[in-house]
Amino acid sequence: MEEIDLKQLERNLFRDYLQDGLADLIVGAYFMLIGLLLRVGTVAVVIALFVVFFAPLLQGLKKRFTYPRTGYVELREGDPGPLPWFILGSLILGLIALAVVLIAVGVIAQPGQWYRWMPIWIGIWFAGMFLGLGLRIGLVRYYVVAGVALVFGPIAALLPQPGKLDNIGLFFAAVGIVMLAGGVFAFVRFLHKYPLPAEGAADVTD
Amino acid sequence: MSPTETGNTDLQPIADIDRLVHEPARLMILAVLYVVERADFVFLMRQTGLTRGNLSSHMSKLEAAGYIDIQKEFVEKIPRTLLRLTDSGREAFQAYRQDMLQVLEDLPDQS
Repeated sequence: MEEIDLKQLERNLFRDYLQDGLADLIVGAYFMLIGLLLRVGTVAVVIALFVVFFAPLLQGLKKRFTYPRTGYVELREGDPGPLPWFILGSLILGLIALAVVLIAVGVIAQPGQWYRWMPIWIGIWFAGMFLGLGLRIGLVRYYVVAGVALVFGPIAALLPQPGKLDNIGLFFAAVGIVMLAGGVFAFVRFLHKYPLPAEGAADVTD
Repeated sequence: MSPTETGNTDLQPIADIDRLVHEPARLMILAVLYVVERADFVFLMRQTGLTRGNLSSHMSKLEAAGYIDIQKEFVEKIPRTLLRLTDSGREAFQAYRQDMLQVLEDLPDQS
């Protein structure tokens, strides 16, 4: 008999929790919103919207679509695996990359242009975050998001943009579209894989 | 002779294994509840692969032993049974893991 691998069980349950794609749908839509609203400079409103509405919106959608199909679960604060190190490491790596680019292109001498190169930093940071998440729970779509963030950071920085924050907005919009697409794909697959049980058969214990 | 009265003290750790936890279906239920905060009947049924009747019967035994806490509620007129591991259930599960590891580690390697 092998030892019960509780860490693996915990990670598998977390993966199951995300398999409906609803969290990706919301985060993807939110990133796209950031991409669009950054052009009119209302970052604080977008962040506030996310903080206030993410959890209730996700729970509302799960209650409507997920729990009737696969049951209700509240996850514990478990072992996050290497995720915090990936987030911190990529944050620092991104800052170093940004500093190198800023020095290389001589932007430090023109401080008004630094924000144009911000997508490089955010791209590396997001890549590390989603790579860590993918490694933790083994969902392939997070590796795709990590790859897109890594590649699209420099692309968004290099594309000429008219507005002050347009490069950052473009980056968020691109990552948002990929996440949204991944979320829609996962959600449709989830609905097909788990059809609604027959009425009255949802919970019979007596 | 009952299993707890073995003459050979080397076998005592095996006799001390908690039989309520040792049964595979109940062990699956406890393992899932150990790594989540709480879950409902449908979720446990999907995760363990047990039938409704089987799961219900094992739940009752675990509840009677004080290892799990069962709460019934209605969500939009649909009944939902929520299960949570109690502190005593968590301790029992941890003790079982330790006991089994001890028993298996003490066996000689045959390879």
